[in-house]
Amino acid sequence: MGFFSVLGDFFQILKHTFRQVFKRPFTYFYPFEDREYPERTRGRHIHVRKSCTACAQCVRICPVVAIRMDKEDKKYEKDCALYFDYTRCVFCGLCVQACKFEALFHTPVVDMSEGDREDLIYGPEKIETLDREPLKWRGRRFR
Amino acid sequence: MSDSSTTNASTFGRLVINKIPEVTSNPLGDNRIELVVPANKIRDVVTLIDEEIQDVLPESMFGVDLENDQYELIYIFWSYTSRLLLQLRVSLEGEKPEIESTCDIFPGLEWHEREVREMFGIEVKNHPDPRLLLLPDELDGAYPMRKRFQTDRSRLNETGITPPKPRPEPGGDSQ
Amino acid sequence: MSPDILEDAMELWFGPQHVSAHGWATKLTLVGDYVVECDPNAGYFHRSAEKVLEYKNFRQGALILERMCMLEAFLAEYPYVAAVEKIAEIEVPERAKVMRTIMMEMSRLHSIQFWWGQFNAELGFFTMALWPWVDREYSLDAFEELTGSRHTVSYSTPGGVKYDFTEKSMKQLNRALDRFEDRLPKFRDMQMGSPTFRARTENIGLYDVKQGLKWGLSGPPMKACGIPMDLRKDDPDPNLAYDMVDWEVPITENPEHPGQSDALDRMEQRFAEAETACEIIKQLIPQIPEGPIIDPKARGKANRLPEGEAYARVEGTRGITTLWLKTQDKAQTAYRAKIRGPCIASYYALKDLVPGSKFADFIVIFGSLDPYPGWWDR
Repeated sequence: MGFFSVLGDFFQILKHTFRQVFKRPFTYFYPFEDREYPERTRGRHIHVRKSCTACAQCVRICPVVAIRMDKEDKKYEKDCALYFDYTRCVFCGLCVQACKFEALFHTPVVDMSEGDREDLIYGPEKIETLDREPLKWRGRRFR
Repeated sequence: MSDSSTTNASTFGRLVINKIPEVTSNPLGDNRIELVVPANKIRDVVTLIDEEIQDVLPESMFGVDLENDQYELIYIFWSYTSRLLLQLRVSLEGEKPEIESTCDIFPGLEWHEREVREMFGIEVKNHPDPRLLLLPDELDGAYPMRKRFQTDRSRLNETGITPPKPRPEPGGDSQ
Repeated sequence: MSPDILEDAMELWFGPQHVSAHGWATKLTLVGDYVVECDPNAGYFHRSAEKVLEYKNFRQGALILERMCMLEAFLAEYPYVAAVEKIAEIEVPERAKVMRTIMMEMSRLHSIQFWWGQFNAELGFFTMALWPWVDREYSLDAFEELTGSRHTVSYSTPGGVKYDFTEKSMKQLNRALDRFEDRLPKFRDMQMGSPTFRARTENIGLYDVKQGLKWGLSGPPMKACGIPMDLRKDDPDPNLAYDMVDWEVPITENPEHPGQSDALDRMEQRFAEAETACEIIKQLIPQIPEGPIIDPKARGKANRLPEGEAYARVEGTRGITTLWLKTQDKAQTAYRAKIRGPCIASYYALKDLVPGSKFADFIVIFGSLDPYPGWWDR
């Protein structure tokens, strides 16, 4: 191992260092920016009350009994209220596949944190609305 | 492995039946064979498998609860050079049936036998290490894989739809 | 072993809190630095999956299975689906077969990439721990683009697969493969050229074919002994497309100890496995036929199954992974499902393999066998 080969290694290291200095960081400035999630991301659900028919297929297929339905609570003619328990949900996507009336979807929102366990049981108001527009907010870089 | 002789399923089945006439065989097709073995002959058959087939692998061993104190034990062996799958089926009866341990012939079956003992209550005689394998100590003697063991189904009542009918309860008290 | 040696013996619980013991515990009896007795304890990860499967219907069951081993989630859920298809006599479309095979090799690749990093991290070789994990991120991106989930893909269903390949997901898949193939020679230099790594793994955890078969070992730990024992060739599943590909079973033969394998051979074998997996996917991608991805009648057929028994087997990353399924007539749930994970044998093997070696080599031995607690605790 001569002097020049060591010098070559040294320059290679310097090259990498300089390249990294002028690159953008690989990490995200998380709560303010986030990566773009794929279209099929199985995040939290959204329930479209208008097309729901209260057929209970999603409740029956759920392998972890995370969905509860209330048939009495009606907004339209034959819909029902759904309660999603996100302390149990495993995001398998079976309920969305079971829904034949296009009333239940996944959204790309995956960060659901709450201060209280009880708040993770999403009631009808919470499951029917998105508190933020996921795709507009995601994938934006601030730096 | 220097030995390259392969074993055919039906040839092997005939060989076992010739030596131990109590055994019957069902072909499963595709070089697979099932041998129905009486409980007191299991050691003889497993020894024969060990002697006759050079590269045999103890793949699995497990119990099946057929309800009303009927149990089945299934041993599965696989030999990769002859591509032969052997399935031994042993019928057992009684509240606490017994079977001879075979784990001195195939050490790989030792944990499977421990699991059968704790999950089904099938006593394995001459087992070198009859401790619990998977269960915690408080479930010793509860035999949770038996059909009469009732699991907690209370969460299903929370769904808001009518709960499905409970399983028909066979004889014996629920745990 | 004379009793006066055992007087100074120390009992040491390795795990369940130790970082290298991934939630499982082994009781070691040490004399000085040497292990004289090894008692592997299963059960710390037990979730009674077999009992749970008796209460879940045939579309839900695969979800339970894939949580047995998150690293090879597709490989883990596939035997259940295959067994259901055998009993219900469901035909799988050609396109779904090829897609399943691609996904299967992809999850094998991901599992090897993860194991690689984990094994090197346990040995304190952190550069090689993080480099494969960078490539693993690309594999996970491919999974996510295709199925919407990074680990628990829940991709196969009786009768086919759930999600079709899109242009974007093919791009991600190719990117993961290209990147990995590009970096594999570099990894090989780095790993096999490291004198520290060689010194720690050579002649450690040596066993021969006969012993391995008695314990029930299969997969890479056996193929590292030089025997071509692979279910993909020996007992191919009819609903997978391995016959469309021209490939050879990867084996590793060490001239220094023929018919035996040590930890270094098993690392070498993982390189060969990863290469084969890449090769199979590369050959299959241009061959994907057009057509439906799921049999439309399958959903109805899988609701209620006829009486029957089926035994589905698949070559997992760690060895033979099987599921034995028994159903009653017009059954909505399984009557009995038995999961046979490959690692139950490799964890049991520690009992005979470890005594006599140094305590520091214990980690090398179990790491090279690639144990995953989900497979023995279920």
